Amino acid sequence: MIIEALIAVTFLAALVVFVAPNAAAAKLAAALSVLPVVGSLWMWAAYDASGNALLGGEIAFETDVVWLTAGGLDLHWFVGVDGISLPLVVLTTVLTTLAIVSAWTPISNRESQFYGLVLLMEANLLGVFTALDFFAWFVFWEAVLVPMYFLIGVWGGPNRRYAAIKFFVYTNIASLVMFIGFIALVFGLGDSVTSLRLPEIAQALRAGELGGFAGLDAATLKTVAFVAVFIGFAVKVPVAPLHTWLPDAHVEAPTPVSVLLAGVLLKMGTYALLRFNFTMMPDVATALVVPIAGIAVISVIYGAMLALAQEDLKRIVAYSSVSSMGYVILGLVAYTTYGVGGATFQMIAHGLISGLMFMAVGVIYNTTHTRMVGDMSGIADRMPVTAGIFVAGAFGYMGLPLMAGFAGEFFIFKGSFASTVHSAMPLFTAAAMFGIVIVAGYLLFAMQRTLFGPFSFDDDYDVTTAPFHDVAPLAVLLLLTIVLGVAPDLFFGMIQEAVNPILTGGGL
Amino acid sequence: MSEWIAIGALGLVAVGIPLGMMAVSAILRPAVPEQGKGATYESGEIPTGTARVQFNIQYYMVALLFVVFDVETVLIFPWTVIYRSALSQGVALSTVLWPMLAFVGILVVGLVWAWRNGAVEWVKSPLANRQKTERNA
Amino acid sequence: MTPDALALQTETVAAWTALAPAILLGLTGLALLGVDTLWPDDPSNAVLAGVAAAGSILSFAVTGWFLVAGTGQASTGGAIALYGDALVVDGMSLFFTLIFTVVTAMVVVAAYDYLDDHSHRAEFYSLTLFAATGMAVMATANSLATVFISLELASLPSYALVAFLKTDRGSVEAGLKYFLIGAVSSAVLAFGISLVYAVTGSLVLGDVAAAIGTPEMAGVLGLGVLMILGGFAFKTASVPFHFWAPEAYEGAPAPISAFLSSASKAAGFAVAFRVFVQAFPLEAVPAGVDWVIAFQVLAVVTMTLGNFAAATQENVKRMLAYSSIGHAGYALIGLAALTAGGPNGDVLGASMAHLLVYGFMNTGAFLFIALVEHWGVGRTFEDYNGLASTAPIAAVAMTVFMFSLAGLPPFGGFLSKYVLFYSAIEAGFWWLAAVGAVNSALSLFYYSRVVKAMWIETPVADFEIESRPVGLYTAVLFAGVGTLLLLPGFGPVIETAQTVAATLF
Repeated sequence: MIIEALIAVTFLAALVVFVAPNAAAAKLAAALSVLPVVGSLWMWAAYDASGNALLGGEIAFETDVVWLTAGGLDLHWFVGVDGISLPLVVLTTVLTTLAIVSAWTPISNRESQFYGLVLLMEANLLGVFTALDFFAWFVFWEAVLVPMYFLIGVWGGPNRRYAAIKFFVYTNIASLVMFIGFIALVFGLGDSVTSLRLPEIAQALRAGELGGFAGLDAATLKTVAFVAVFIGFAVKVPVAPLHTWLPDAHVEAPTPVSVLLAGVLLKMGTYALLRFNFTMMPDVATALVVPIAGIAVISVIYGAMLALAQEDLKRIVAYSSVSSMGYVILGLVAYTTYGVGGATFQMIAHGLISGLMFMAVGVIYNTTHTRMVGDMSGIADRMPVTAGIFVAGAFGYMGLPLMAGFAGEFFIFKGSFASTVHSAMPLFTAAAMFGIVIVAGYLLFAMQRTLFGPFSFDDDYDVTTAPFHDVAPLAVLLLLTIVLGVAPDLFFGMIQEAVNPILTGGGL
Repeated sequence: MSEWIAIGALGLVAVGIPLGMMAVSAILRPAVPEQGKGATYESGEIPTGTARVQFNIQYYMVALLFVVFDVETVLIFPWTVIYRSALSQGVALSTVLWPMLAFVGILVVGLVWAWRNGAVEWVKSPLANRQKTERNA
Repeated sequence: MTPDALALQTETVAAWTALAPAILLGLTGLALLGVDTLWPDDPSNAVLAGVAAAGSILSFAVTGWFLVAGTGQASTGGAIALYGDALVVDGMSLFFTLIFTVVTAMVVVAAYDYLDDHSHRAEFYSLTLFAATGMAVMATANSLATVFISLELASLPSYALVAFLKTDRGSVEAGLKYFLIGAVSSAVLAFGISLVYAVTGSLVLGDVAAAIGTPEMAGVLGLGVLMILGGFAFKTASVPFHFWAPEAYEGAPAPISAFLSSASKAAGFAVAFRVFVQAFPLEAVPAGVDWVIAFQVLAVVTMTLGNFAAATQENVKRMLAYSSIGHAGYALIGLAALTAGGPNGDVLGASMAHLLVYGFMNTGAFLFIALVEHWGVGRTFEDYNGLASTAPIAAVAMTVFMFSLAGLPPFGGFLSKYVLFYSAIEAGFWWLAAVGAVNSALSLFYYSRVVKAMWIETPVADFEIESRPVGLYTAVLFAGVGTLLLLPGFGPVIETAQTVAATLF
């Protein structure tokens, strides 16, 4: 019941904040958002299960009741967590609270609606990471989009309408493609499944019970469905060439929303790829390893190159997300315990670090009202703490040892080098490693021009130290990044236990 | 084949009689052209104005109410015919009587409502009332 | 009381009481005339609206009670046939009556504010109730004669209601257009009925079905079936008799647009379902009279045309009118995906459940328009710009309606569409579901325009919103909560719908 309580409390908090007066909304939202943090941390502390939820492992905090029956298939309210989803739940709650605090300065109109929507989105995100029935999961998955659409569209920058519509249309079409692909699979499974529960479907698929549907034989159907579902999730991740909504959305979105977008929403895509494509259809994934690993490497390199060419700090971080997500895909397709586990760990690490980077850019923007690299220099002179955290975060991004980013990327590379799914995997890995060099290039270059050197600033704004409530979330994120870098086993242990069952059987 | 001949003959007769009558009268009658003969015949009255005038809406109200009673008659008539024999053959009084009472009751509600809302008052438009007051003043 | 005691087929209660929902609606209409008779000069709006709302809610409650208690359903001995099989009360008729009564209740509550400065209020409420009575009878009609009469009983008050704003040119024009097309399609329907009667020698649906197997005069039968189909297409606002819908919905007072596009449409489907499934069963009809193909064509054309036309509108009410045509196309899948021996109960039940959800979300959307008209805000998308900053609660409700109509997952409209398309695939018509899904994705474009205008755009001019009309707000919020609750609560709805639909086959 803890999961239902978590989701319900967040929903209620959203409602309360939505009707609260604007003046009180910010503090109220922050206070209420601590409740899910406490809940998720309690879950993490009390977690005592092992194995993969989809593949017959223990499911922690499980609830499974029939929701409704339609056309021979039961739809269930089926939630629970395992070692893959629990870290993401914790990430969601923590990052939401920090994002809310970081919104105190930049958000100054229609506050109650803003914070209400953020909490509403958090509730749905928790649903996405805990739902184990396809239908319930899809409901939450789509429900995340609605608040996001408003958050970008109402509180965004000058070009927000375009960005919001682009985001909405891209992700909805992707969802439709994915939905059709998956439902075709379910029909192909015929009588071997009696409900839309993901474990049931995953196990039936891995047991090879797929039949033909709509004129396609089983093998073709599986490949077509895999591609459809992959495209559906790849938009969300995003990978090149389906990433073009992301820079627009990030640049126009207000900082706290960017934090959640990069920190949690992108992880929905990689989480779903892991759960659906790579867990349910490993045979197709390994058959398509060259195109998938190719896309991953292209995302890494192309994303990093694009970041190198940007003048807008936020765009730099946005494109670097495309690059980092490429690593995750590479790790997933490696099918080794370090590859897949590292990819999962990298989701958490990237969530923390990209959140940190967006927040830091936001704090600078709050005082300078510009994000253009050329418009400012020597900011460290006036905002030493912010600049210091910014630099630390950037090093985390580059993979400095003892920070979470290093652990994630190291696991991925270790896993994908050792991968046996295809003889070319070491080559792909080596190519992807060049991405790190480029990351170092653009981050160092950007920092050197904005933070250091003599102070100069074109505009009239008074550049002073950021207020405490702006810097505090940065510090918390930096602390978490270091903690996870020093002790990745806080999460990596449970991740590995959940990942290992994926790697055997099912046509591998 | 033969029936078709009969039908054809009937058609010929049907067309022939009026044509013949018109022809005979044209031959027999004296030709006295007069202006009044071209006028529309309206029960001996001399027609005035055109037919394209706005009728008072009350005409339609009355016509509608008339239709209601007309239909009512159509339904009541067969009912009265079988009423006594149905009772004598042992059909319960309620089965025979209640449906018609309900039917008439519904009509009565409608009629009373129409009456109270002025459907049967001859002049009840605000404009006409105002004009009347102005004339009286 | 045990369920058996509640069942109206037992000796304790007369069988005609199974018609209680329809009778209650009719009596409420008469009571409204009575109120107007007692105070002809100035009947109190509150009293009229109160009586109308109480009557429809009471009827709703009785219908719900019957449905739960199992009246006319398999658990208590099956359908209750009345008056020589002219009327039949079963699960399907009760299910549809549930839709009519709840929509009627919302409409009359909303009309309380909408009619604030109008005269002839009593006529408005009583005509609405009489139309609802006609719809309730339509759902029970089991003979082509009662089908025709009840359809007229529902239609005639609707013509008057559409033209209710008699000083408004749009309203009068809409009423006339609606009336003329209605008269033509009634004639077509009556002609079709006479042809079917000529072939089968009966008007009772069951007897028609029994006589239909003889292939003698199959051509005349086919023509008759096609004409009957045309008559129903008018009532459901489906192609090719949909021309009246955009004008009528746009010109009519917004609560009446809600009433027509939700309840009246559902009534058309109720009678179409029963007539086609019971009188022309697929197992029995001669090969030339394959009406399923006609419905497939109609479904695809209706949903596509409705959606594309809606996407090009600038006027919100007109956009909703076309979207309502599109939704008629989805509901037609209920008849288009039937096969001899297929999962017909699931298909038909899914369509019925969609109509119930649609009843909530579409009524809500039109009532929101009524609210906006009440405030005197304009009718185009631009006029809605920034409305959310002035009226956030109502805007949230409208957002729920729009996203639910578009079929976004967190709302009731998604589940009903999903089940509908799923059942179509199950019956083997995956292409029908695909067309539906593509149309559904397209519809998001124009529905989200309303949302975008309300929340994201900046207002062109300041709104002068002085009042928060209680009745309109109550109705809109009720519809919104209903749309939301139908997501978790969809289970009983779909199970009931599919169970009662299965008994028809």
